[in-house]
Order: sequence, then structure tokens, then C-alpha cells
Amino acid sequence: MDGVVRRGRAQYVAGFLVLVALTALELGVIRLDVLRAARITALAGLAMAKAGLIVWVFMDLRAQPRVVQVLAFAPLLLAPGFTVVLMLDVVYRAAGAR
Amino acid sequence: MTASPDGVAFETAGAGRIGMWIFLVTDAMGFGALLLAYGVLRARAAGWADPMQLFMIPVAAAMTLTLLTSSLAVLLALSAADKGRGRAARVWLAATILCGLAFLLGQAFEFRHLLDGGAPMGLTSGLFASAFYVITGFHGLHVIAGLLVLAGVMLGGGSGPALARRL
Repeated sequence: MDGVVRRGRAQYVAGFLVLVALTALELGVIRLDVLRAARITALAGLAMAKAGLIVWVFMDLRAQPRVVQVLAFAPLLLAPGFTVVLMLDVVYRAAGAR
Repeated sequence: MTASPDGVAFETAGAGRIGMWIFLVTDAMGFGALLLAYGVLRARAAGWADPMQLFMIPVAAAMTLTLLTSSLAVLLALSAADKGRGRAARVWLAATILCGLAFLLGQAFEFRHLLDGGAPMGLTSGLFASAFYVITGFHGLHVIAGLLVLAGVMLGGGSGPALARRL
């Protein structure tokens, strides 16, 4: 892309290693003998962390102007909130229909 | 940086940069819509398949690792092209394409396993099956499109800087 200051190989390799570590952590979490809700929350958190890392390091968002960074991350932060509200709404309507 | 008529400096972005960000946003919206649909179906369904029972987790983990490796390889291709090392960039692009093909093979293996397993799961076997095949199928098409574009860039010729611009 034009005008983008790309990062060096070291940052990309470091980002890759962190992503591999987070994936290994996910594999550990799915085998944890804990409450299902806690497991799902942990997995969703890890998935968000991976998505953020990919956008920040691999897609060079770190090198973009601040306004682009905010525009990219705001929906990422809002999405879980909207999803939770939507799920609660669906469950509420389903309970009302019974 | 450039300046507006009233002297305020602002940053410019070329058509390629803007186009790429628009593409990324629409791409994210496509996947977001599909995943949200999965969530709504899951919340409304009386019963749901247990993915832990259905899927081969080690295979899924290996496929994830393959995609992460392909991401790293394409970035190393970019880095090499930026430095004018066209040959190294093409080698990394070839590695990226190989990783993408390995992912698609893994996906085909997984689909075959689900279709021919002890309890066969087809496209119309239920809400979970339909949602799973649509989302992963869309992702597979996404990977195929990426591979075709990367192959075009790799075979297109040009020096390091020209390759970097196309990447």
C-alpha cells in the first residue's frame, strides 16, 4: 500500500510467535475443567486479542494515523457489546414465546 | 502531508490505500454478519452439536498454524520487496501460496471426515451443519481468491520496488 511505513522482520516474527502462543493457550483453555461460560469468555477474549494483534502488527495499523487506528478499533470494541445485547434479546424473546 | 486552501495541514492517502481499507472493512463486515448469524441461530436453537465431539482439534490447530505461517510469509515477502530483494520476495510468496494450499487441503480433509464419519454431517443435516459449512466455505473461497491474487503478483514480473507496490 502507498504511504505505509512497514515494520521490520523482527516485529512480524515476534507477532507471529505471540499468535502461536495465544493459539496454544486456546488449546489449553478448551481442555480446562471449568464452568462452560468461563471457558467461552476466555476463548472469546483470546480470539479478540489475536484479532487485535493481527490488525496492529500484521496489518501495520500501528503505523497508521491515529484517526485510522480509532476507526479500526472502535468497531472491534463495540462488536462484543452489541453481540451480548443481541444474544440477550434473542434469549428474552425465545423465553417470551414459550 | 499537504495543506488545504486555509493553510491547515492534513495527510493524504492514495486510491490504493483507501481502496484496501474499504475492502478490509467490507470483508470484516461479511465475516461479522456470518458469525453473528451463527450466534443468533445458536441462541435460538433448542439443541446444538458439540464441536468438541465433531471436530479433530489437532487438525484444526494445525490449520490455524498454517494460516498464521502464511501471514508471516506474505509479510516477509513485503519486507523483502521493500528492500528491493525481488527474488527473496517471490520465494516468500511461493511459501505463502504453499501454506494456503495446505490449509485448503486440510479443509477438504476435514469436510471429508465430517461427511463420511460415524455420524455423517451434510450441508442440510441441521442448523449447526449449515452454519458451519457456509462460514468455513466462505472462508475457503476467501483463501482461494487470495491465492489467485498472490499467484498473479508473483508471476507478474517486475523488480523489488515494483513488486512492493503491487503487494
